[in-house]
Amino acid sequence: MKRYKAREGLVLTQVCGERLLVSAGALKELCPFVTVLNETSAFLWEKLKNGATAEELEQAVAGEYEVDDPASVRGFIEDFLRQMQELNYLLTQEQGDEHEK
Amino acid sequence: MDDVFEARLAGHPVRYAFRYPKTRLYFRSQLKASDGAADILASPEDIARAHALIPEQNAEDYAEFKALCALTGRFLLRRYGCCIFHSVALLYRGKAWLLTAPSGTGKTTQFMNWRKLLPSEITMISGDMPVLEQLDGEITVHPSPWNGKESIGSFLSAPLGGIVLLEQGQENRIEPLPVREAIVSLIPQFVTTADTEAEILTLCGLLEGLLHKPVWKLVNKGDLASTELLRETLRGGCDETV
Repeated sequence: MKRYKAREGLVLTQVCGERLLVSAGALKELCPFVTVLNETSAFLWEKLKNGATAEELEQAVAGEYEVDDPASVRGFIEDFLRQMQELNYLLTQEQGDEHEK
Repeated sequence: MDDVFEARLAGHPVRYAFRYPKTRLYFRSQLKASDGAADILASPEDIARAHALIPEQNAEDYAEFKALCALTGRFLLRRYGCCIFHSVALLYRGKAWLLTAPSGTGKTTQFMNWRKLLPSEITMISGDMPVLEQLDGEITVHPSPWNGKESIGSFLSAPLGGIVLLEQGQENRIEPLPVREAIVSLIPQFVTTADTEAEILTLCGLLEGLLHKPVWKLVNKGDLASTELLRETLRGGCDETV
């Protein structure tokens, strides 16, 4: 099972009520300098700081937003993870494999 | 290379050492000799990177001057919480107005047009790289030595009135810029690298300060009519922000 983790050096902050993910230092060369996140994406980002699987993110969203069936948010979680990977914000690791990619 | 010279940016001392003696001439009269250690010295790599971004015929000393701008932006953020913001800064009715856009989008054209229409009405604070400083939530706009290819600047500072993002178009139209679009458009205009979380938060604090002022987008043809539209809008902005 794949585990996702936020890259070091990304800072989540707020400006005028908008949630911004900002790249520190040389990370700007790898990732966008700034991306605006919505509330749910910002919530998920916090979970990714320590690493999480897609299933753990489903459970977290279901708990936070009182969703009865965690599987119903699967599509949203998959889209979120895909977008974050496309922006190069995430490291992934197969569980049991200690090497981050 | 061992001589150190001090400039004042937003009232703060910044000490430079130069690899090329002629580089200090670009600072005009803004430098004085200093006994202190240099805060900033461009590396050969910094100069080479700057040289790659300017026309080839420019000399190494001009490339060093350009490289020092980026290094100064980083230094000011780290040491003083100030930032260089890529824009033309105009003084109009006691306020500073920032016209910002990628290079070559007509920032200086708007200034030149305005001077044609009403020569005495505006003054250039900085032609390319003003320094922004936030005190008690208010942003003050200061000049810097980096004034663009026309090299127009002054020694004046003023409180920020508002910001205009310029975009070339087939019509003239000005409208308030929504916050999200303003964030995405304005943040690349900061000339700095934020290396730590603390520096990012300082930068975002400055950005928030900018967004508390009116932010417009001017789609324009670069003609005098577009400048009239800009002038009318800023005049209204003056009345709102007094």
